Amino acid sequence: MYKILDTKQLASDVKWFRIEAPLVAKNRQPGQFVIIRLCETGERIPLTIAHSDAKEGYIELIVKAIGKTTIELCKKEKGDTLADVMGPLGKPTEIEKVGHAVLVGGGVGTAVIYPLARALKDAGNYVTSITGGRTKELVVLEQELREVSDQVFATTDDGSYGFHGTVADKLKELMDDKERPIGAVYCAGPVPMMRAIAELTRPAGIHTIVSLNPIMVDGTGMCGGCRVSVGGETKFACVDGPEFDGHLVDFTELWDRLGAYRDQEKLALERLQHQHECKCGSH
Amino acid sequence: MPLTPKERMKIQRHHMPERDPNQRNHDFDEVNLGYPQPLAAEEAARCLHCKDAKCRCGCPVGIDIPGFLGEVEAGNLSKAAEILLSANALPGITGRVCPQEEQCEMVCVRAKPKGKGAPVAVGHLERFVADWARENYDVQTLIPEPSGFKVGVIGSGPAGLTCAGELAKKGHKVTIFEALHKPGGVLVYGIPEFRLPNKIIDAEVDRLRQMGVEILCNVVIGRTFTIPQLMEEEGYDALFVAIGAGLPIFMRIPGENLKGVYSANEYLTRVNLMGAYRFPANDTPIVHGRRVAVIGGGNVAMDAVRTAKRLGAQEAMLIYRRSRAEMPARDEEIAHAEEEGIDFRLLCNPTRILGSDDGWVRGLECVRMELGEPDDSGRRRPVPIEGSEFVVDCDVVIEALGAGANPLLPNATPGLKLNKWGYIECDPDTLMTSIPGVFTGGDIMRGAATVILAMGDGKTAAQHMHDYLQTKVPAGASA
Repeated sequence: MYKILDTKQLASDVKWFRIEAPLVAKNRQPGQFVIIRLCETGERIPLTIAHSDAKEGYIELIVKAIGKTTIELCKKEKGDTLADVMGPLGKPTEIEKVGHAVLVGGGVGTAVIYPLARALKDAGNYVTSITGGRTKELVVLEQELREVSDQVFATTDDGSYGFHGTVADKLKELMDDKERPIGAVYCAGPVPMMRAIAELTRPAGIHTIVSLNPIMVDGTGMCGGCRVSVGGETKFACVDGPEFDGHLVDFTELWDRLGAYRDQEKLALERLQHQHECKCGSH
Repeated sequence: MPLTPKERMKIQRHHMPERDPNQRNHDFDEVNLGYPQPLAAEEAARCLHCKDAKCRCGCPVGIDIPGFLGEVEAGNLSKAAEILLSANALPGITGRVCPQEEQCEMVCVRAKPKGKGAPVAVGHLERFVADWARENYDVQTLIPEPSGFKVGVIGSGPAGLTCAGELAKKGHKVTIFEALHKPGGVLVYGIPEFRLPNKIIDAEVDRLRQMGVEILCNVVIGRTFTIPQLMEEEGYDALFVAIGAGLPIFMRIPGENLKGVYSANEYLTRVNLMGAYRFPANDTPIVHGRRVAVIGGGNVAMDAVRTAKRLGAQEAMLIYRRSRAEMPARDEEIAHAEEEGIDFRLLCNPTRILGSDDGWVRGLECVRMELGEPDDSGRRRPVPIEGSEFVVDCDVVIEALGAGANPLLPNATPGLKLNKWGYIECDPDTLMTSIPGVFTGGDIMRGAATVILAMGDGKTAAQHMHDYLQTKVPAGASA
């Protein structure tokens, strides 16, 4: 049992958790993730570790409530427990001195790039962070990023806050700024967004690292469920990734495979809603 | 009045009572029902108690087979359990999954003449005693004086569980590190409920806990801790690496990343470990194909195709490039699969997986094969027949072609010598690796093999680890 030490609502459907997990925190490095399971009948899902403290023995997760498991997780409060937290998994981010590092986060993808900001800054890079959302409510971690970046831009598709446009639009502006050329881009968010960023930086030859989010089951490279095509080769996101060269990833295939259980996910959500609405008391 | 050899020879081998194939292929309850006691006693009476019992040598953990059979015949089940458990920590498991036809039963004198004789049903009788013991035998947990030594076992599959039990019996403080959220390894994620119910594994694991073994789940050695950390910082005096052969092998044919293509590991893990057959009561989903093609011919392929049938496949097909005689699966699994209506498409080799417009599997293109000269394995080599391509309509494809060495742990362990296939090298007698105090066994050492061979390694390693510890001072000992 893994105890929730603290929680905070970051947006209407985005919640921050601090979880007691000393073994996970001990050796965790930026870029790594955990696989969690809420209960005996639960499924296993991957979540990026946003922060950790080895001495205090905790990890922090930032979760968007999208499907049954994340919705149920986001209902939990301080003192509640998770059945299983396994990790840290994945290859840590290669933190290098690239000069000007630009981090691009779309929606809750910002939680994935957030741990990289501090590490890149500590390595002597000039760090620009872009956090984008469709509307003001969906922009997260702007304040937190300011503490670990040299400059931060918030973007909204509808212009309700910050830069009016997509994260790709803002990145294009930065790419056009010859005063401060970009050494590398680190990007995480919905697949169409990561694909757009990769296509934007490809002609300019800017090294672009993306953090992929395929469906996972075991997380140790044993099942191949999270396989992705990178440069024409099959890689397992859980052990070879989760970060890959964005210019080599087959995003179309990734997007397609993410839809494999759409019907089942829909059914699970419908049942969950019914359980909430139904007062029959038999659930 | 004990039976004479002549009387024993007259007794015919007793069939294992089984559930009706057309009922059992719709659910996940166990297929074999077990011998009732009178039947077990009669079957045990078929043993001739040979002076030079070959069966003992045929057993990888050296069970005194005539010994326990004699007690079953006499009705002394407690004594039978004692004999069995003293050699074998997990008899409820081995009695169900060992390929007895290649081990004890193959060399049984009653198996002669070949094709006509019927060996004593050692496997079924081992299961009988184990199941009785689980309910009735009080494990006299001789918790000896603590030795002061701390030992780590990496992996809670059959090798790890066996090694842990043997070390605990010698007074060592044992911690098992398991990556998944439940112990058992391939026993729990790979072998289906209808062959090996999880409650049996739970009971065998509980016995270890009663002996003082600590089991830490959700710990991935190579990530959560490394082996150098365990030895140098966490105070472990010796380690046993038993992580299994956990890298799925894909055919590398076009179409493998279409939706509906699974490795057998993923398919079985979703169903066996995560209970996906109960979706939506359980949260993990699985694709219930109407026409499922499983590629392979071993036990895992049998498990996958019989699972697909139980998940409601109208056609559950096995695609295998050689013929039935070359299939490596256990005889009993092949027979059960045939009874359950599995469609065996033999001498077929897949060349491509075909997809629909929306990215789902719609067919498997295969080429017909014929058998040529024997290859390295001694089996006749399959050769494609030119121009014989045809398409098998299907909506799910499962690849059950074996598993290789998962590089995660070796990559995080400097100085750990591997062989050219990525398996861990070790001294053939002591099972110690290139790192002093670190031993290995099971599939990660010998390549994908069986539960019983892994258990044999666990036993062997435990003995040598114990001997090794006698030359050391515990890391946790005060100066």
